[in-house]
Amino acid sequence: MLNTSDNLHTAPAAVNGFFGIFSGHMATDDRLQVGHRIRKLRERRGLSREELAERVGVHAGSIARWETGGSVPHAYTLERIAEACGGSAEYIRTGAGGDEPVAAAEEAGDGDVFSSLDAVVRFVEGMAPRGQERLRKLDALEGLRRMLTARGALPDWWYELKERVENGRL
Amino acid sequence: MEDFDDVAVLGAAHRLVEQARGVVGAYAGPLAPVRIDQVTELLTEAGCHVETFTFQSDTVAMVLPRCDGVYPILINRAAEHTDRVFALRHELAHVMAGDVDGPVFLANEGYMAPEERVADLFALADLVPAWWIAEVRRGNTPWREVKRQIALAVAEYAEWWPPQRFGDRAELRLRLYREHGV
Repeated sequence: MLNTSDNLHTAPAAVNGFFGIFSGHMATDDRLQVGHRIRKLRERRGLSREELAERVGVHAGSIARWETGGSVPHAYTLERIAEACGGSAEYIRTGAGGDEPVAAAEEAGDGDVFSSLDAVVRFVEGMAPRGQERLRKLDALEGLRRMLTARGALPDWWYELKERVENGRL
Repeated sequence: MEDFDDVAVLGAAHRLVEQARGVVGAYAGPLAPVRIDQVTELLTEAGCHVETFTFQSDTVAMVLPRCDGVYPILINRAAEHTDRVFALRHELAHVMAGDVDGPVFLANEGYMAPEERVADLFALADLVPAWWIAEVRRGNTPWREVKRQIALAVAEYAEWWPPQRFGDRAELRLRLYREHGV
């Protein structure tokens, strides 16, 4: 079980009171808890931030900001998030309701700080850096081309480098 | 498990923050994160030239050795905005630390190298600022929970990181706060 302080698990009146008004008035701890629950519901649903953002009709950056406690969504948006994630707005707001036992059970899994980032693990494991070296060299050359061109003529050595990279000699 | 010299990493990151504050006093301060124009001021002072375009590779950013009098910092336009915000500070740290003997990529491999950890920590000192950590800590929130919240905040800037990198950076960021007051 996460070793969260009691004040983070309670649902102070401020949570309900300031939803839909100014999230900036909500205590940081409350915002963090709301964000944590949004993330938990999203991950349970198997949605990326981008996918959730598309369903809710907001930018992915907004999802990230809410999940990390930067701010809290408007009440209407909160309902849409809950609907998209198959949860309840009440759970997101207060931590209470039908989703809580599931969320608590997930938290109790191993108590590892990063256990909620399984999706990231799978993503990273699926990435292969092989084949990236040549592309990185081409990127570096393109960056140099842009910079040097803006400053004057492209020097001869740039063309030589480009030819070597393209032919696998560098 | 490799035995890292965390004391050296923390000390180096703290020195870089102080160095940055010599140019932009607000870096990693009470109003952090600093504005983009303040980051630009830091980059200019360090002799960097930034180019943003869409990469062919999966790299978020790279910094190249000094060329034509400047250090080219290349940012992948295809990367998320938050990734780019992080990348600018990260690559700036490499230049300030004098790490750039060859191309330095911001990517998944090699991220546990000391210079990469210092560069990440320098960026996180501003992006996950001390005032925010203090707010999370208010009410005697357990340090373990504070660290978890830091990890979540870090994820906002670099969701693609491997878990070990999250753990290491969250731990380092918390130590920079507790031991250096940054």
